[in-house]
Amino acid sequence: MSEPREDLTALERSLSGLAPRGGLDRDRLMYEAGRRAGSRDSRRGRLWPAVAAALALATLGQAVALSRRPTERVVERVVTVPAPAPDPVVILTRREPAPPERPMKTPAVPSRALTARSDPAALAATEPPLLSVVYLGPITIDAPEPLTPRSILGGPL
Amino acid sequence: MDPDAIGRLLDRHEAALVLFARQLCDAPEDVAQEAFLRLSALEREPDDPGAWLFRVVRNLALDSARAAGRRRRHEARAAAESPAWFDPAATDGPDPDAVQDALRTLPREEREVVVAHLWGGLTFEQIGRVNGASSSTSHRAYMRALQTLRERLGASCPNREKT
Repeated sequence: MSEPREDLTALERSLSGLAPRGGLDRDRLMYEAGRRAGSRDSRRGRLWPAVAAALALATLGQAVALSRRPTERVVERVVTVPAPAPDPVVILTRREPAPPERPMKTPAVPSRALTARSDPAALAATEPPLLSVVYLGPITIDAPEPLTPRSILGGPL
Repeated sequence: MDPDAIGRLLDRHEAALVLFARQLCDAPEDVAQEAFLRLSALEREPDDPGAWLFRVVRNLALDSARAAGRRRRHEARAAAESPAWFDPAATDGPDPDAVQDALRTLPREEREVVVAHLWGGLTFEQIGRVNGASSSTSHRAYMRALQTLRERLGASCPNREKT
């Protein structure tokens, strides 16, 4: 109910003198307030057990899922992959001349340089070439005659 | 909130809040009780508990009136059958029934302001916060309502203003 105030006019004072009818049941209101507060506290008290139960349930579910998980099966299969033919490899090696068994004043066989200067045609018959060719791998060459290092490298060796 | 504070606010505002809610819906006691229950659920008392209660009652009453929109046809009958707004025991002032009838003729906004100021004891600034209007708007509405009430209650008001 409003309290008497000095700033009111006579009409306001007479109107405010009327007492509005309340109608609230005070005891019921206080009881309901306490009940709500209690249920709120109990809800708050149930929070952590509910969280713990949910986590336990989740853990249990994970364990069951893990136990029922099918084992991994290894399947061996032979897979044929066509590999490209290897490129032919040509290795050039230089043959070291054999050391002379004993020193000779006059060589029994003329040196290759001398032979080449004097008789280029006889060069091939005098000494084996210093370069030899080692061929590894297939190679296809249209040649009218069998291949020889001479025919591959060309020129007199 | 402290139960003692609830009891104190109940003594201070209960009747005015029920009357205020009565201007807006046809279940004023339920609305006022719900407002007090919400107040009791607060961790601490609001800065202005009176204005807080009036604002909550207003919102709840408007919601209640909206929910009862389908019963509009029965509103007039319900209003006619509603209990008296004022305690007839207090016979110092004007006739309670005449005041109730005069208040009923006011627009809703003016009734809200009159009830909140005269019986709720709120200032116009507080009423403005409750209604979502400015204090000057609330004051103008109050003055219009007072003029209407003066005209309607002129003959039956024993303490009629002389000036």
